[in-house]
Amino acid sequence: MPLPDPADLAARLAASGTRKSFLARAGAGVFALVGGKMVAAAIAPEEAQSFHFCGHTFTTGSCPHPGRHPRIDRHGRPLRTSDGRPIDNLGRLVDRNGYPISSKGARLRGPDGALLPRAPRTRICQDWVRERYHLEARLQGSWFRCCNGQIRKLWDCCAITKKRVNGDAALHGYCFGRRNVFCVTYYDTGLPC
Amino acid sequence: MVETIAPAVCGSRPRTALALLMFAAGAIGVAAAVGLALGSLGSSRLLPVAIALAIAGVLREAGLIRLPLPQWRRQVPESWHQVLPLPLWSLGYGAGLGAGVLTYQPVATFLVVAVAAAASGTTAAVLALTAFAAGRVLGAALPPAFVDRMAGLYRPMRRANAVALAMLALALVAAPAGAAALPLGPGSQLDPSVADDGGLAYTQRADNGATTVVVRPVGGAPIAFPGASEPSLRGDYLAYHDAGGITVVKWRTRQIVLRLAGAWSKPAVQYPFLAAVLTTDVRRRMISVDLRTGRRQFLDVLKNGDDLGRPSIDRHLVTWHKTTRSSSRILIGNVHTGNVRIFKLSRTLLLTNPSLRTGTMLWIEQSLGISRVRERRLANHRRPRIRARTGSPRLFWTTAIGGGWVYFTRWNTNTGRAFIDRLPR
Repeated sequence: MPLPDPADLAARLAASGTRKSFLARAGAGVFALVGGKMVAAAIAPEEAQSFHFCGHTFTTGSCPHPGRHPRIDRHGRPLRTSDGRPIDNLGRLVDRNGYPISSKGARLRGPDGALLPRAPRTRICQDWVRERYHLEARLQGSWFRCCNGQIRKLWDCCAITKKRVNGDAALHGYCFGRRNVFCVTYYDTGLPC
Repeated sequence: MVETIAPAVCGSRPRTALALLMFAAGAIGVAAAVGLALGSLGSSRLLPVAIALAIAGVLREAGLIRLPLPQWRRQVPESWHQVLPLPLWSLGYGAGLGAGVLTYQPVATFLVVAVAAAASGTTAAVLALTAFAAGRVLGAALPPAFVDRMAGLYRPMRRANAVALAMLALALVAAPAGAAALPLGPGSQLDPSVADDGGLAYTQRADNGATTVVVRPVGGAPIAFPGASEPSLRGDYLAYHDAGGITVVKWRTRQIVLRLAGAWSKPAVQYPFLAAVLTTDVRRRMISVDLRTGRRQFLDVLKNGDDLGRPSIDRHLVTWHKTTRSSSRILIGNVHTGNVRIFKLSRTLLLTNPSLRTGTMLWIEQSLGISRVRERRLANHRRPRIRARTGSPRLFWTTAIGGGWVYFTRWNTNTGRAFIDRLPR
């Protein structure tokens, strides 16, 4: 069987995933050559420790959020990480009026058979950080990355504090004035990149 | 089975290691799943059963009684490791042993621990059964000579087993009283309300949605008020919501004291005051009514769509919750003056369904997937005490205090079923 052209192979490898997955696969390939299958299996591609979420690869932690990652809408209120649908502070899907709904869109009912009322749906940085950490926080500086084919706005939640959510020293980052980055959030703009 | 996971059967040391790994994954995975199922299905009502089983287990292991055990008296299928790939048969063997009851049971310990774990909650059940599975994996991982020596110690091990089960029985007896669901019959029971003497009123909701208020006086037969819901019981008086509005009755004689016709709901009564919610087209109002004079005192207002919760009244103080999209708060109002103050406010948590009695406030605090029953004295500003805690899909709903107990509704968001739990105050 003819060997593939090295340039073509490299292009195909690079096109088949992100830079991280490419490097992981390339690393596994090198180990497979020198150490056999067992070693290659032991270093299967995985997320590096410093990887936080797409677009954010350093250490400041996520702001408190009812979902898995701190995805917010343009007003700073929580969205479901997986599909960007609005959720309330309890992590329930909600409709446009804030009422909890099922995944099919039907209003949820309580044990008495009545429709469930709204629960708070508040701003992750300004309200959650204020209540949980007693800090007067606000969304300030931001930067942009391309994630899942759209532009993601990574937004620093800044407060006048020397400690960040991780418990260690806060960085100044893109915050203004005397504020430092307490935690991070993101907003998927929907604009293609 | 232990002999199967060896180089002689598997072919080489790496294949033996792989078989052991898959065996461990199967055993621990299935044991954890069984623990999860037992923990979610079980409840503290199983505690007496667990104690009885532990005592029976002690007697059996000590050789004092003969007791058959539920088991499938067979070994793992030998043919699997001849016809299936190694990862599959080792996983299957692990899964079979991890389930606990699909093979021979020489001792009663597994059965006793499984029931005790189910009575203790999901986390305890998963941990206990996973530990059992890990023990079985050790049997396959340890050197065969050591395992043989242990097998030779059958009699002393059974005595040690009896001692361990006796300690478990003692621990179960000494366990603090957990929240116990009241056996109140079929259907759902919710919205408890307690009189000072311990008499209980609640809403009984049938599967077809029909509701009945049931009053269970201390030492008397239950009295039913069909078509009613949202009861409030205090002394001789019972207030409830029905199709016409709110009715206040003397519950022993069913004599009607007051009827508030219209969009009234969520009554709370302590003679001579009644607090309730009046809903109009655009507003909900919390209003107290003097039952002697009919005088009304406005307490709170909210636009429709937000939640003005079920009030609780104690002497001249009324408490209720108010939830909007921006916050959730528990309020206390004075029925004489109409003055209202915030007891607790949160912009992240959901605070609902407070109850007030003799200076003690009880309420539900809900955050992501976790529901807690909190308690605090009004005069005390220390951190509120957690009386009970549950996780999704089970959540707490309404509360009541009185007669030396605290009551709260627990409901399952998947099934919609609700029942009333009780804890000593």
